Formats: sequence, structure tokens, C-alpha cells
Amino acid sequence: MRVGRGLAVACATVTMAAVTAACGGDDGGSGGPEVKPSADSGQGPVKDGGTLVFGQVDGVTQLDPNKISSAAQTQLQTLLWSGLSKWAPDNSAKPDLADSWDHSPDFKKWTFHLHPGVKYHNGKAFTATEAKKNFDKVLAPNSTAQVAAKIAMVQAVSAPDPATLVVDLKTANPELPTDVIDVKMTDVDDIANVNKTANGTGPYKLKSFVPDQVVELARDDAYFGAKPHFDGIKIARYADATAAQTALRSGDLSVFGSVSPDVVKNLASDGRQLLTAAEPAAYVVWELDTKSAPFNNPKAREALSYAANRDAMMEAGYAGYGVSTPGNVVVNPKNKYYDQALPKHEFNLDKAKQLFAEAGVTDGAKLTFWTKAGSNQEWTTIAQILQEDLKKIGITLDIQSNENATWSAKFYPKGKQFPGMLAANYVSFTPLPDSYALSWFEGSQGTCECNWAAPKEYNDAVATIESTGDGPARDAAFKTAQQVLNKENPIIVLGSTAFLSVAQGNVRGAWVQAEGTLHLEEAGFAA
Amino acid sequence: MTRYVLRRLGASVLMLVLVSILIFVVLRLLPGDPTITKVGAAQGIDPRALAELRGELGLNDPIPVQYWHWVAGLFSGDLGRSYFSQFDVDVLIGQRIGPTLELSFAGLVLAVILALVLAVAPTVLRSKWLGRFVGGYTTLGMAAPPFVFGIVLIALFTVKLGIVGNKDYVAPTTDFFGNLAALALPAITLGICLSAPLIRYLRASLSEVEGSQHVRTAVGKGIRRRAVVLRHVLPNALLPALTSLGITVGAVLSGAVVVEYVFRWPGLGSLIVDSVYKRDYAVIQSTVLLLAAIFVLVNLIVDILYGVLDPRLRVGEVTTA
Repeated sequence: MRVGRGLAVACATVTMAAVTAACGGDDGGSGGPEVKPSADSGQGPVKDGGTLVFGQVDGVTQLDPNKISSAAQTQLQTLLWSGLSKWAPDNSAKPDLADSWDHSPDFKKWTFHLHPGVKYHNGKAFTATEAKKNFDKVLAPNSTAQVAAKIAMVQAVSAPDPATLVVDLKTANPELPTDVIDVKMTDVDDIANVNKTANGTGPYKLKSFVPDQVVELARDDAYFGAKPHFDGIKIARYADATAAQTALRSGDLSVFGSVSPDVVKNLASDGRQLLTAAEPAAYVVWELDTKSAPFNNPKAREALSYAANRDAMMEAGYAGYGVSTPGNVVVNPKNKYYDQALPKHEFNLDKAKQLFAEAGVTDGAKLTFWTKAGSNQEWTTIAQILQEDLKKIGITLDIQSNENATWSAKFYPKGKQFPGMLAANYVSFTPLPDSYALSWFEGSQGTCECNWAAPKEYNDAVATIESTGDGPARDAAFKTAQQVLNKENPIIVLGSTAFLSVAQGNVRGAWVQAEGTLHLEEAGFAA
Repeated sequence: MTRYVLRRLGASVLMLVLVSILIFVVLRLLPGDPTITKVGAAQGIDPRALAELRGELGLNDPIPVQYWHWVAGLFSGDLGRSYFSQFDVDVLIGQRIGPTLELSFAGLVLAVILALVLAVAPTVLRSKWLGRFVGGYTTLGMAAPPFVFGIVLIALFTVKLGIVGNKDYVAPTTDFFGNLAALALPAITLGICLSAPLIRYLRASLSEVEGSQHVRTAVGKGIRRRAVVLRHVLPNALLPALTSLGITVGAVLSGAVVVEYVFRWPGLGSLIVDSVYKRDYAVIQSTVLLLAAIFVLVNLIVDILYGVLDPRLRVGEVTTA
């Protein structure tokens, strides 16, 4: 699931070698500090007690777990609430509220067996009926739950007994256990008070919440899983990164999430740990309106892809903590399903000029780069590189920076027209084999703001991916879908990013998932 | 006097009505859509769901209808509900107004003390150098925006010298000294910015009164300069400065918005800034109107006080009537 836009997404973690490779260099990128794979890499026992203070520059605006307003909120998802399943560091789904699950041979009926005796933080029993209420709320026609798109194939949810939840699908989905992870369970009957109570079943319960300022959590001693280590967790919002950096240096902060790459080198020193991902699944992209000129012409899109000096852009914008994508797809080249045979989109201004000319974009043409003001400065850095390169082939790039609301309203949601414009953005997905990244572009179901009409070949491939379990047919379909994207260029993908968080040296057991969420639910301070 | 008060009161009400219309219309002219920021501009949202959300928030109604709903709500004590947190606006204001009032009060008191000392001292001491210093101080204080002072103070006292920590806000009822520690830098920042125009007004006023007949008489009688300034010049110079104090209250509120943001002070300022970024119309319009009401009220009080303290104003009213 894409957790938010234009917001720093920390990378997940596996091994030192993998991370440093992902970051594009042996030293962690651009002479950066040693990159540790996770906060528990130091090993050693963990003690119970203490309060972890997590700082971020964006505030949490509301607490409905199925209506995420910003990436800042994702930090809470695994602390206050639980799903039927949850992420494991290897990107697989592991049991959470459901102890186990099974499916019909055609992947169209799934049965989840729930953990007994679970209660919401308000004391109410969590049963299959409660789970059904949450699914129904997420799937309601007027739902604005982001996760709804991932489980759109659900036809009906039933609760034959308090411990069994049955999910019937319209179309097969072999990856349903990962797709339901983000359906977080809260007391739907008391949803009006969710911002005062949160009412989840997670390891921590809500202590206090001041919107956009602070969220304080306290350990839930009745939690059904392993006992949480911290007495409490405080998620504090800082007005700017400088203030948060100061707090981290002074020890007031335990973890600073979403650190700008250019300051990581200094911050991740003095024993502090840099948290990052082996296979980041967040991508720096330019969204284009494929329904209006000039980007309704595939040649103009291809030209733009060749005009993008990806290596230079990722180096300048992300201080080396990112890796440029050789092909124009939203799949990390390290992913085993990445089609290594994809033609590379190497920087080639001559080819770009020729393709632009064939698309009618000639000398004196003007394009607009639409980016944010006040945040994501790296997008502007990247735009300036493109501006200089396009200038060499007679095209003017007008860089326009706008605050968040204006920026997003221009091209979001799907269906808006933004001719001649490159809208800078982040997209983050669960890594393949989850089909979500590819289904974003799919026919009438996809919600890519690029307004791209995917060809039948693409839609057929995604349908195969969505309905087929492991096997050659799905592997072939992955390749087909990537080849079509790489040829049609509905968006321009510059690279996958290694967003960063810095933790004090005494934090253990935190880890970052590929799409960006920093997991603190099993973390504690070193004994 | 009653007529004067009633006229000022009528003008204040009219001002608030105009402000409410202005806020309401300007907000809706801004580019951006609260429904999009509400769902985080994230993938997977059907445009039809967004349209439905707009309907739920009442944003599909014509602007005059939306305005009427808001104003009708105000009269029934309903300030609206945040599109995002779903908290009632009065609850959000209740969470934030205490810190704002505390910071504003501290900043204002500091500004008045600074203004009195820095405006009077060059006159009493007849020091050109001190006069130049105060002149430079006022120029800098009026030219530089509050956030510049805030960042400089943080960099100097917190990062460089480590004397004063950039502490989180803590309620005085919870930790009084912790509250004072957190208040120090934002209050100094606000105090510096507010004191500059006050000093300017006061110095001009002192200079004017200093040349008047009764002051020359006092000097001629051989009264010591310090006594002349403090007993004969300053009291008379304070009256015109009272007007500038009313305006300064407005500056307190607008200055606090920025200062709160820089220092992570959980007041109305940061609530407004965050709400503007998100286009949370319900919160912005009611909070800004509240601040406007405070500003208008303070100026009304100042006007009435002025009328009470300066008989010429009352005489003028009677004469023109």
C-alpha cells in the first residue's frame, strides 16, 4: 500500500551488505556513515520500561486507522491497532489477530481463524463479527480508506462463529493475507470517538492526543501478543527538521523519522543508528497527464524518460541514499521479480530531442515542473538538473513550487487534466509479488493520476498476476507488465529511495519495512 | 460618552461581520481542496468517494449557504468541526488557547518593560550612543520577521551556548518551572518584536511632550532631569502610546502565530498554520474570527479608555453632536 505522498519514507532493513548495495555504494552512499541494518543490530538484552520519544516533522491529524491522512500517521498503525495479519521483515504476512488462515484451491475463499480472548482497549471483546464490521466499513461505497483499493476484489465477509472470519472474493487473490494487513481493527460502533480513544487491539493504547502536536501511548498490559517493552511511546511533531535534529543530539528524542539525506552523515554518529531498507519500495516519480498534449503522445513520454539523468538526480537529490532505476518501472531492480531484460532508459539527450521532435515538442517548447514548497527540496534539486538538460535541447522547464494543498489539488485524483506538466511525487508500494504496484495502472480499476489507458496486454498480465499463485504463469505475467510499462512510460520513474531514520544507540528491536513504516511495536531500550 | 461608546461598539460589530465574510470567501478562493488533503492525496481513492466526502462536509453547497450555516452555528455556540481530527473547533481552541494567552501575555509584558526602559533611558541619561543603539534596535526589531529572531535565539542559546534548552511546552499546573523554561525563548522573541514599534511610538511621544510648556517650566524651576522625565514627561507621553498598545495586541496575535510555529508552542498559531496547510476551513475560519474578535475587543477597550482618560475626546463628541 502506498502510505502517503511526498513524505519521507524510511527504508527497511536486512543486512549490511544489502543495504549498502541498495544505497549505491560500499560506504553507504556518498561518503556517508556506516549504515546499520536495523536498531537491533547491536544485539544484547532488552529491558522493560522507559518512554520512547519518536520525532517527526509532520503531525498526526486524526486516528482513524483506515483513513490515513499523512505518512506521519503510519507510525501509529502497528502500535495502536492490529490487523488479521502483520508484516514480517521479509515482506511476508505473519499471524496477528488471526492465528492462521487457509484458502480454497482457486484462492477465492479465505478463512481466517482468530486469536481467542482478544479485547479492544475499551474492554469490548474482539470477535469475527467485529472484524466483519471493519471490513464492511472499509469496503463501503463512500469509503475513503486507502486500503479499499487493495481488497476491492472482496465480495462478502461473513462471521460464521466468533473465532472464524470467511472472506469471499469476486476474483482470485493469492496474496490476500498481505493485502488485509492494513485493514486495522477498531471498535466501529464507537468510531465517532476514535480520536479520543483509538480503540484498537494493539500493544499500546492511547493516552492523549493533540492533533498535529503529540500522541502519547501507554503500554496495554492486556495485549494479546508478546508484552510490549516500553512503558509508553510519545510521538512528537517538530516544526522543522533542525529542531528535531537538535532534540536528537541532546538526547530528548529516541528516534527521528524521515531524516533528510543531506544531514544523515552528521546525525548518525556518536553511536546513533541509521535505519534503512535493503529493498526500498518508495519511488521518486514524475506523473504526467497521458490524456493531454504533449504527454498523450507516447514518444513525448519516452523522450522525457531519456532526458532524465537518473544517476545524477538521485546522487544530487538523495546524497547517494537511493538507487536509480535502469528501467522505467515501479519495481526495485533488486527485487527477484524485476525483469532484468528490460531495456534501460539511459540518459541520452540526442535521443530525447529526436523523440520530442517526433512528438511535436520542438525548440522553444515550454513544460512545467510542479513541485512542493517548504518540503521535498530534493524534488526541486532534481528539477534543476532536468531544467539545465532540457535547455540544451531548446525546451524551457518552468519550475513551480506550491504548498502541499495546492500541489496535490492540481493533479489528484485520477481524472484531472494537467497538460504539459510533470508532477513530482513519491509512490510507495509493497514489493512484488504483491500485485498492487502494477494494478495501480490497470484499466478502469487503477487509480494512477496519469490517466493512462493501459493496453489489453497489460490488463491481462495484471489479471493473471492477481489470480495466480506462484508459478511460471505469474512470473511471465510480471515480465509482460513491466515490459509494457517500460515501453509506454505512463509515469517517469527516477529511482527507488532509501529514506532514513536515526535512532539512539540504545534502541533495540526496531525495524523498517520496505514501503517505509518504522516498526516500534517490539522495540525496547537496551538493558 | 454613551454615544461615543455605542458608536465604537457598532463599528466593532460591523468590522467583525466584514472580517467573517472576508475570511470565508478568501479561504474558498485559495487553490487546494480539503478533501484531497484529508485523504492524504494517496492512491486508491475513487474520485466519486471524494465527491461524496465533499458533500458530507457541506462543500458542495453554494458559498452563501455555507456561510449561513457557519454563522447560524456560531450563534448557537457551534463553531464547527475539524474536517481532519473530527474534534469540535471549540475543543481544539480550548486545547490551544491557554498556551497562546500565556505566550502573548508574557511577550506583551516583556515588550512593555523593554519599551519603557529603552525609550526612557536615552532621554533621562541624555546619551547619544544609547539613543543610536535604541534606534538601531527598533529598526532591526521592526524590519526582521519574528521567525528570524526565533531561529537566531535557538541557534545561540540552545545549540551554541546550551544555556537555555528548546524545551517542549509543559502546562504551568504540571511543572511551573518547566513551563517557565519552555516559555523563555519564545517570550523573548515575541517581546523583542513587539517592543520595537512600541519604543518608536513612545520615543516620538516623549520627544513631543518634552518640548511642551509645562516641561520647560519644570526644567526652569530647577527640577532634576530624571524627575522631570519620570513625573512630567512620561505620564503625558503614555497617553498617545496607549493607542499603539491596542495595535500591538494585534501584532501579539499575528506574531505569536509565527513564534509558536518556530518553537513548537502548542497554541492557536500553530493550529491556524496547520489548518491553512490542510485547508481545514472549519478550524481556520472560526479561529481567525476569534482572534479578530479579541483584536477588535481590545481596541474597543483602548478607544473607550482613551475617551475616559482624554477629556478632549469627550468634549469633541459633545461639540460635534
